[in-house]
Amino acid sequence: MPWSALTTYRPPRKIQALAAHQEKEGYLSKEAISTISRRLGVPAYETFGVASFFPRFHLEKPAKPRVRICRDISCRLAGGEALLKNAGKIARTAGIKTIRPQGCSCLGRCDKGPAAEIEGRIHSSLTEGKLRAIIESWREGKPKPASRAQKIKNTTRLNPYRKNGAFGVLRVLMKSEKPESVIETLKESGLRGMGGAGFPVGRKWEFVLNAPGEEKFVICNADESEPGTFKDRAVMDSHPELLIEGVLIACRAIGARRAIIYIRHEYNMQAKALERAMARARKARLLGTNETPRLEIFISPGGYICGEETALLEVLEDRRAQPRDKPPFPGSEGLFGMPTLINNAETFALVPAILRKGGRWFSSFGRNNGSGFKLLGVSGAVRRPGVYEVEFGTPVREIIEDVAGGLPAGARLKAFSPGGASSGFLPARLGDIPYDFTPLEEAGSMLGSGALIVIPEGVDMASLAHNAARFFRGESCGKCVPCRIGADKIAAFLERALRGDARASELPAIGEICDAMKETSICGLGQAAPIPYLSLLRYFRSDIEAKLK
Amino acid sequence: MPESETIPITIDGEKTASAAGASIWEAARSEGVEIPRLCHQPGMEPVGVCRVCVVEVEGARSLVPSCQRRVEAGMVIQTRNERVTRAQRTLLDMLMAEHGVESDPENCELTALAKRMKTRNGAIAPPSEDAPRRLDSSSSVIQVNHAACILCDRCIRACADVQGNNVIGRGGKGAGARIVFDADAPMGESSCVSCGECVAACPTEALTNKSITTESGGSESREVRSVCPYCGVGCGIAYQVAENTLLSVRGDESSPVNRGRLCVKGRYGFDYAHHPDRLTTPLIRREGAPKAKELPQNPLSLFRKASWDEALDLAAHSFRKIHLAGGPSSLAGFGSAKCSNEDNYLFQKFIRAVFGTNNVDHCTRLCHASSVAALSETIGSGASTNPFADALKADFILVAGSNPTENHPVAATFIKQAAGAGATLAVMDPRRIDLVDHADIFAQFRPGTDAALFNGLLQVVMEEKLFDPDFVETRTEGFEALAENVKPYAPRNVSRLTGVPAKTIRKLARLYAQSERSMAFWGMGLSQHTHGTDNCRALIALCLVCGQIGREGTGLHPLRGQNNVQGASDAGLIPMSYTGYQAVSSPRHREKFEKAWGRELSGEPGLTVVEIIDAAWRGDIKGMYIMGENPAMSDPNLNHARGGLANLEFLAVQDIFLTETACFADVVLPSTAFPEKTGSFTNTDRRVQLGRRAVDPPGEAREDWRIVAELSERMGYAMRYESEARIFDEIASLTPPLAGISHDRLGEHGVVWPCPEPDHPGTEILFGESFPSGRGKLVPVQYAPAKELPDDDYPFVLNTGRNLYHWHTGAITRRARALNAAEPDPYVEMSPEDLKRLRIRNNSRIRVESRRGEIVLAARASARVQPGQVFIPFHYVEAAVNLLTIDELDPDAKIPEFKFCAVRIKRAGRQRR
Repeated sequence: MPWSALTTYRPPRKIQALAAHQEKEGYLSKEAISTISRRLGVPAYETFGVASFFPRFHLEKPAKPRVRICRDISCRLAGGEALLKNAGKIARTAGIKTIRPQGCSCLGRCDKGPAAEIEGRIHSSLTEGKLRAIIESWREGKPKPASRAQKIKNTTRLNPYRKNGAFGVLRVLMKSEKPESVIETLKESGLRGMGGAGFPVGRKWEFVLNAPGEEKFVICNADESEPGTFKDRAVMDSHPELLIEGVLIACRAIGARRAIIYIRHEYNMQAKALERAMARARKARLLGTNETPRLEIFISPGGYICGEETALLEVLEDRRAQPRDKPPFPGSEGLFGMPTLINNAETFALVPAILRKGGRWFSSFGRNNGSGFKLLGVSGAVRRPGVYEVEFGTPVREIIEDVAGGLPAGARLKAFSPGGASSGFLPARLGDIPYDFTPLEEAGSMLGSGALIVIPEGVDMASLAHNAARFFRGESCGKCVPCRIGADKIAAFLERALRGDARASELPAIGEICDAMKETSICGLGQAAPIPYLSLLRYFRSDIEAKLK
Repeated sequence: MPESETIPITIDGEKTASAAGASIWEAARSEGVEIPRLCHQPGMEPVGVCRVCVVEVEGARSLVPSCQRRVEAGMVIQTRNERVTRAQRTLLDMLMAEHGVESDPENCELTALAKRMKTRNGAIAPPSEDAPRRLDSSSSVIQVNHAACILCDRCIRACADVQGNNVIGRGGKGAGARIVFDADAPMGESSCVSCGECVAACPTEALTNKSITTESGGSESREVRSVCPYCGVGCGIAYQVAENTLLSVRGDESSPVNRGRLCVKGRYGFDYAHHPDRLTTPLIRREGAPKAKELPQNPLSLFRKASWDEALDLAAHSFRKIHLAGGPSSLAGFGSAKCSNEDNYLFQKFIRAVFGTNNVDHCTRLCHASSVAALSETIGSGASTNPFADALKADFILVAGSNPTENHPVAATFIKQAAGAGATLAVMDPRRIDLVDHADIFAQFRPGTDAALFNGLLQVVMEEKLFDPDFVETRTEGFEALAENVKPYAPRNVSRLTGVPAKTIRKLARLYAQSERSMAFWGMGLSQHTHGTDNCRALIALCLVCGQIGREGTGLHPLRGQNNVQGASDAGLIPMSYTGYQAVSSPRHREKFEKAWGRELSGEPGLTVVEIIDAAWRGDIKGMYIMGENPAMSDPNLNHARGGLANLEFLAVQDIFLTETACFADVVLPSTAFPEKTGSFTNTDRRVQLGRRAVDPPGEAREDWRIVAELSERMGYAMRYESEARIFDEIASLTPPLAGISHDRLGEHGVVWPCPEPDHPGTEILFGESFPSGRGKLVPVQYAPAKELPDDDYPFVLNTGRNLYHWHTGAITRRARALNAAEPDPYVEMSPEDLKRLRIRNNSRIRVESRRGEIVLAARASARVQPGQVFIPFHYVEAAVNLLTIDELDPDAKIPEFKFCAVRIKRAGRQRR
């Protein structure tokens, strides 16, 4: 019997049908949702629940082209907010009155803000003039192509291969009897997950290998959405075959026959790059044969929460992206209840180099007690924003100055966010802090997803904290009370503070909310959502107190 | 995991042991520690969304939701330390800030909990701008206030997991998330069936019952436990009563029958008892008021008010006169399956002992008479063998000719739940009923071909040797003849006849036969045919040869229609037997009853419902006493039936409203509605339960049994009982299967008969060892077509039945405000193809004609019916479908063919509205 007949995997039919219908009709009317439900034999509430949850689905007919402008931190520092404010006017002068440009969450072009998504095409380094030209090009029926994304300039460590050497580790492994050695090497390397939580990779793989289950799955989380984060995108732009190889190695190591790369829908160019890399793997008979795993790319229906691993599983099971309580962890009960290995895109991409060069090679990198290196996206007020290989333990100031070229002329460092919006903000005086898990946690922040955002003097930190709080409010799935209400309360408080309508006497109550969010939220989103606000209070108190009555 | 396995844990410093696999919440509860919660509800899957039940678990970084987390050996749990209560208070603060309405803690678990936990109400302000604030009043019975909703998901689980209705879900995201109905329709326009389970589950005032009678009586109100007056499921209910007004009904969670669930009729259909149309005094027909088969415009004008004495004297005198002139056989009586066991026992005793005839029957003749006939003939007992809730224990469930989601909605929840939990569900029906949404197999057969289809299943069972040889050998007789008989019914042949693919027939037969436990449910779809008894015989034969009976999760269950149709027959309200199916033709039984009742009794079985009306039409029967029945609506070929009633010399009708039948009466006796009396009722599971008086009757209305007794007295036969309980004692003394039951024993949840001794626990599952008839008789049947087939003049097949919101002839539900608002007008379901072909617009008025009559009503496009077929519910007097139906009878059970006759469709011309 072919193994495919045995799989517990079932495709997410509602999401697929909704996506297909929207592709054709441009939006999803209630009638269409009812019709799709009847056709699939599922209750209408389920289909509507899914359709109304994901930003990719539109319940009303949008005017073309649909313009979504990023309003998160890096783009805001690059002038995104002003662009969004004026976008309606720009559209009108470009000759299309019906467009209602909207703000959207981070598009992963933080190195070249401000960015916008226009009918599925991402445009970066936007100015008002450029935006006008793009909208005009739509009016004229000859839409401008998407902006090219910036690749990683120097990947001597990440990429272990010379020309034409791709998939070398996997080729050897295919012949090997002992995939256990893979896990041993990963454990030796000390590699930790690069998605934010930093769980030791070797241990995770070993756990899934040993978990009892009729079938096992490998999932590559390429749903990069943390504001300021674009390193996974850059990996896929630069070395998609390393990611594919890492995923296939994982399948071999833990005994999975199906793997899924879960990618955000805005990364369609990257999905194409992955497909090209998969084609190369098929050509080398590393994919597409009876003996090799089945690998597919799943395009996310959208939303930051989908990057949360259990929410991601819910989406793959055709439901709203509402995270599950852990335990059980995906390693024992994941996709369709089967043991499931979920790692971040960068994590998988690092695997071939480590296996090729050895665990000790990887752990030999690092300074100030750090071990190994990672990819770090630097954005904000620096001369050379981009993705860099950075050794753990490197002082942040050194990364800003030496790697990213320092702040632009005349600018002085006020603060930095070491790991995207969830990591909050640290002041310039902590600039010598080593870029590593433990020191950042001790400072009330975290290493997060590899997104260093550099903030110059003159920026109001209350306003940035509000920017982050607004992001979390918009991205909360709403499943659990602390996050659904708490994220809203923090954002609303900061909004009022910026207007001069908030009182200092409210601080204790907001503090209680932050505690409850950290203590009782189901997932990392709700637990991290108060961090930007808390870092504002801890390090930039004057920026907020001055605004309170 | 063995149940006894326990593991050590520590709760709030106390070392204890917990059942392995329990949640922390459950473990704490069994130690007497009640952890606060809002979204969690015992009996529902935990979802962990409110987080109010968090506890501290040693070693865990953050707090842990106790409803979801399972206990582990050595777990150290703190349920009420500073850290935990602080978090809980803040969560409640947040919820109170979002909860945009002032609520009485009595009606709002959130407000009550916030008060109890001493939260700082209002510390967190203001509510989110994104939060839904809408009021949705579109449902006729439920008010939705999104502002009060805390998104606990209880209603979602109540709707999907408990009732299997799948209407409510979450829509939107984040602070904008809200509950939605279907694809975000207003509740009243959604597929909601108004069962009210969501309201019962809602912890706040987001979902509330609209008041049906009057606003809540506050602390003045009291609660009365009773049973539901509608269908044979017999749900346990509790009336909320203020003074003499019913305020609301809730499901009794402790009832083993419904486990707290109700349907729209049970929950919202009680206000008929307070309707101004209630009869409050006896009425006597005015001198010279005409009796015609056409119903009068203003029926009350036919009557004048009278005193009880005058009315009863007139009735006694008139009956005596007819008896004297025409003898016992010129009299007859109809009791009712809506009356109690005690009412009906006395009624049939009166007819037999005073009238001296066995001409006593009731509407069982019109519903399951053929099922009872077939069951009695084959296995010797005319009742269900297992409770319907056994569906949950079955691996395979067959539902044939029954539409339980509308007719037995609460029983349907168990079937849907079983299907959801993995049992295979097969539906056999000419209509694509809603239950098909939950089914694995749907055999949509042509109307009237039931027997052929069952023979086809039997043929597969025989040919593939799927039967149970041991069971056939030890428990049945007639196997060879049966096997021989079904030989021509190969799936290919049957497929041509029934329209069901041969593959489906094979699959169904194999699954029914080979599943470890198969259970069969059926309803009027099988029974209401001229070959109804044959249909049931074939189904029973299938069950017997496969040995799917006598164990948990197997068996035969004819879903009984009326709340006391089982009990009425048990109480002897049928022409061929006394209580407990003791035949009147048996000298032994007759002597026993003659001795007990002190009167000589007739040994000749009486006439059945349709035969009695026929005899009235011919003039053979001249006087009738009708208690709670409405043959002027419920009998087939109404022009004929109403003619029969009009032809009677004297008719006494005892009812709560001036029914269509009462229009033909000479004396009308006002009786009590269900909530106004005490009495026992026997449900479809054979469970005898007590209905309790909750309010007083209006005006001079009296309990049915008291009226019967008074009349009897006046005719010279004393019936003196202290109470209903004493009547039941008399029934028990004469009826072996009920011998161990008394009102005292019925308590909250009743007793399931057979119960031969006072200390016998009752019997839920029958025939584990043998049948009352010894061996189960396998009766071969042949397929025969219906009596009136469609032709060029009358090309459509008419099917009749009920809808969810109404009850039978509509006498009570048309007077229940919420129910009538849901389906106020008569309609005919037609296939969209037929409507298109006939160029009839949906909802336009059309004329439906048969050889016997015609009605005008709205056409309703429905994918449930196949082209060439139409379906009309029989609740509506203004378009009474029984004017069209045919009065041909099944030769054995004398049940009419309500499910099949030929009609034609015409456009009705100008719209009247």
